[in-house]
Amino acid sequence: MAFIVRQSGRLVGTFNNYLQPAHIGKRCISTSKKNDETAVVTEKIPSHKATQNSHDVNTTAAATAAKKKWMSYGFHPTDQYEDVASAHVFSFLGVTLCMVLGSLVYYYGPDRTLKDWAQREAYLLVREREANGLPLLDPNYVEESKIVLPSEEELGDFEIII
Amino acid sequence: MLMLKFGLCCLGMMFLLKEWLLLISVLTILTFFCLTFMMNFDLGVINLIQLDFLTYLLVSLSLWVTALMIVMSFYIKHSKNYFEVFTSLSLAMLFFLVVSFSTSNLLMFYIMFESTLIPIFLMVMGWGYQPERVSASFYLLFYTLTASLPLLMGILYINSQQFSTDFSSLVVPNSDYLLFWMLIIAFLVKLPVYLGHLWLPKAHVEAPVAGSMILAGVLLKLGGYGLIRFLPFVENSLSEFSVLLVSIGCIGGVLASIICMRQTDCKSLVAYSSIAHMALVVVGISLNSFISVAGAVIIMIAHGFCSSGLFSLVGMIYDRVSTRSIILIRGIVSVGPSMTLWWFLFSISNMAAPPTPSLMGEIYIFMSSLNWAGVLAVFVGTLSFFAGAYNLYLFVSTQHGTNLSGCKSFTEVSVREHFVLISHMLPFLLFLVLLTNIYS
Repeated sequence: MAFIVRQSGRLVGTFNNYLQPAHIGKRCISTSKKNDETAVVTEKIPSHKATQNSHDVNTTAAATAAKKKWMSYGFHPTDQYEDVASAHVFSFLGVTLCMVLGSLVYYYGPDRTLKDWAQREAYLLVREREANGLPLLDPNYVEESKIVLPSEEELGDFEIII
Repeated sequence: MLMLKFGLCCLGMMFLLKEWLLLISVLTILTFFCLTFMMNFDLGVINLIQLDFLTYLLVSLSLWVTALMIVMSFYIKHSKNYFEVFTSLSLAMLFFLVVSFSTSNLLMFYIMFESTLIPIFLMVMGWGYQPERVSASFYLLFYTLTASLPLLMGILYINSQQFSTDFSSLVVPNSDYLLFWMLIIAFLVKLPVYLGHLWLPKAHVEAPVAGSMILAGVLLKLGGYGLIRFLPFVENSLSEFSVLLVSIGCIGGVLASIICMRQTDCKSLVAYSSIAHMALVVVGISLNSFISVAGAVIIMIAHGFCSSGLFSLVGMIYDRVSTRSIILIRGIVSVGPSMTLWWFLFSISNMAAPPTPSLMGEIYIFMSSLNWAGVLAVFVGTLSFFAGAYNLYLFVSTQHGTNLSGCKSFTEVSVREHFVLISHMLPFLLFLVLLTNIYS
């Protein structure tokens, strides 16, 4: 979603030049050449990328100054690369993998605990029992006709406790 | 075989002790696979493995809290304080916990139950802060050892009677009162119930942050797990003693909550709040109805995340101001507002505010306790009231007010710490839907 918004913003910016009238879009700012000004030397903004000439003290100092802008994520106090790598690894494994993907797999995965099956089966049984005119819940867990009790001769002196 | 594979995996992780990044990565990947692919509960009694939904929840919780406790222990690594030994103890604890939650053999369960004491004892003794940690670790060790010796005797007696040490051999309810107490007392002290609770505040205060996290997050659940596993076997005796257990749970919970109100140490306050929560678990299990045991399980899981997160927060404060005193820690909202957000979220979760699973568990236990006896409304209501009171007291005392001069230099919460706290809170909320499947 954020990608779409960013890209649409860029496209609008690109087409703005063609959509607006030319005299509104263009504002020319120019000054006449100053004769009494001293020359201004503009410093090159130091890049954080490694320069070709490693012996150049000025570029090394500039690269070090750019690198000092790093602030620890809390995983390592001094090593930038380990710190950033740890942050990326934990964010991916902990949040993306475990929480996001784990939740997706749990909610959309197969019904391993048979909970949905049990609910469907219950509705089917209710419909079947209503169609046959039977009570929805039989007070007897097992049908009385299916219970086979031992005879008196088989029981003998066995004490029955109810 | 699953247990054997997990044991080999733990041995393999021993090679990663120096590479903590890989170690935590492996733990999080294991948690992912455990959450997503360990939902098959049709293994039954095969090769010492018995899995059901309770095992699934507790094993996932163990893996996750172990990963987070290693992430919170980076100060040990950076201060070169025997970090490899620390991580090896954490892995050993994880192995003992997973095996104890997933085994179906009583004797193996007992051995693993006792084995978890060794790593936590060494953690408290080795990485604790004050000299009092020596006595605290001895309290922890001897309370649990003394209470669990009758458990061993009870298991051996069951073996002599049933000729088996499997959970399936516990299917025939036993009405022997002595055997009931021999089996139950170890888990009551482990939970801990009010009269056997003295070791917990000492152990929590003196333990390092990681030790407190694993102790509150998982080790206390061993007691609840044991009670639930042995419950069908001792149901006849439970009906005789349920009044006593419910009374101890209710009154003990209220007393623990009142004690919370006069604590000056943040860690001690959170420790006593754990006792109050576990009192509800005892009440739920003692009532022995379907919904009350479900509520007890939900409270156990919810407390695992919430209490572990609170101990992480106290540890973060201690890292910055070197004190845990409620009197000295004040006005954090003006120097660390992002931490105040987390303090607020965990405080309200601890007091069972919606939409947390804690509320769901408490409602289930309130329903079943009121159905059992109306007079329990007074006790559970008082417990709930004081839960709100001491959590508000903790939050307002630490966050509001004028901060002391010692608190003015306060580093903002780092990305690592945000990650740890998000990893506590987000699964805590996501588990709400998962815990509704408790009836399956």
